[in-house]
Formats: sequence, C-alpha cells, structure tokens
Amino acid sequence: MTEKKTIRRSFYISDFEEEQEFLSSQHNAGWRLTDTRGKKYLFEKCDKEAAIYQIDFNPKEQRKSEYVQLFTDFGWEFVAEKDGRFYFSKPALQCSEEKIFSDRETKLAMCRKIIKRKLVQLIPLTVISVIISCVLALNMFLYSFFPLGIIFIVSLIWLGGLILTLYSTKYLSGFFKLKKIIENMD
Amino acid sequence: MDKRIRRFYMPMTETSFYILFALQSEMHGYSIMKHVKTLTKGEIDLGAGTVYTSLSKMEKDGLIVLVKTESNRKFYKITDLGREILDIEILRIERLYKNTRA
Repeated sequence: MTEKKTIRRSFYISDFEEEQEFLSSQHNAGWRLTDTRGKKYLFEKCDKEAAIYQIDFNPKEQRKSEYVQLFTDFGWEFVAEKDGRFYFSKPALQCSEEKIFSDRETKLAMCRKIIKRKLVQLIPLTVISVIISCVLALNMFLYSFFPLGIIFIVSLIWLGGLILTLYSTKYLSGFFKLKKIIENMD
Repeated sequence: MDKRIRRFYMPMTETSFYILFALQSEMHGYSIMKHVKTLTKGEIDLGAGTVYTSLSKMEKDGLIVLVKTESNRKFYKITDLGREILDIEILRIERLYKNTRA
C-alpha cells in the first residue's frame, strides 16, 4: 500500500503562485498531490522528481470534460478541482519552465476572473454591515438608550469591526498581490 | 462591426492572430498549437490555458464557431466575421512590413 499524508494549508485564490510552488516542492520531495478538499491537501508517496504544478481559475466552466481533455492533449495531468480552481501537473523536463499561459493577455484574463470573484465575496460583508447599521439606527431613534441596548450596540460594533479588519486585511492584500502579479507579467 | 470587438481585436495579439489564422481550416485545441508551432518553426509555443481562454473568447465574440465535438475535443472554424477581422489584420501587418522595409 502506498504511503499517504495530508497537509492543512490555506491559500487564497490570489496566492495561486505560492500554491503552485508549494505543490511543486512537495512533489520534488516525493509527495504527489492526489486530491484537495477544503484546506486539506492529500498526497501520495511517489518518486522524487521535478514536476510543474499549474492552477487555472475557471469557475464558470460548463463543459468540464472537454476543458480537461484539451489540457490532457497538451500533456497536463488533471489532478483535482476545488471551488473553480483546476490543478494540473506535468513532469518537468530539463531547463523547461512550462506554464499553462503563454501570453500576457490570457493570464490577465485569469487575474480578472479572480478579481471578479473577490468582488463577489464582498457581498456578504456588505449585507452584514447594512444590517448592523439598521439595527444601530433603530436603537438610536426608536428606543431611548437602555443600558441593555447600549451593550447590544457596542457588541455589534465590536463584532462588525472585528470581522471587517480580519476580512479586509487579507482581502486587500489579495488585490495588491494581483496588482503585483499583473505588473510583473512579461 | 461591434465597437467592443473592434477595440479588442484591432490590433490583435500574436496569439489571437495565429489561432484565428490556423482556424481557416477546422481544428481543435491541440492541433492548433501543433500547427502554429510548425508554422513559426517552434518560435510560438501556445500554452493550454492560453489556447482554451482564446478559443472561448473568440467563440463568444463570434469570430469562430464550434463545428463538432469528437471524443471530447471541440473543433472550431473561422466565421465570416472572423475572416473579415483576419483580413483587416493581415492588411495592417503587410502595411507595417512594407513601410518599415521601404
């Protein structure tokens, strides 16, 4: 029976370059990616060999079998799919740095898809903040400040602020990351 | 012609040009890459993601059309609109060549 291992790590969609690096280095060390679920990466023992991993973000694909077939034709092995991310691998030949995107325009198109996804992610946050401000407004105008009400408001503000900071730092850094990727594109 | 299409494809990228040029005869993704590689003597090596993204976009924009699907491979061919754009591009590149070599 082949040896297996699981690693928990979370990569944001905008960190796809780091994720690719991580998977390649695991393969170099003799661990081949077999599947990925949530934050879990499932590996299987394999020969230590250089391999390239590439991630394509393609969440709206409706004809997956044709899509995967094209990549297979190009020599890419389809490993897994998770939340619109498609993982492909290929043995690395000497001095070749093969990528799934050979031109700037199409790589940019993928970055745009990621930006679009990130903007959609903003929706729940907006809904939460609207609800919080509605509750706040109701408390201010309909009820005079009961001690209990104040506590309620304060806790809501605190919770909202917490979510906002936690979310926005990671969220914003993703945009800067993408901007850097786009600027450094050759 | 649609303003948006004009803006995106005139001038067009080398990738789009070669893919559209190859699709003057019916082809699928991998055969396009092979064809372009031979045509350019290995200078242009299209990536899988690049070919797929370009084909999807050109199909959506009506420059090419899906002819058939055989064993999971989609075969495309250039449309009249695609032909029109390709001819304009060829003329532009010829003019560029002529004027710089004169």
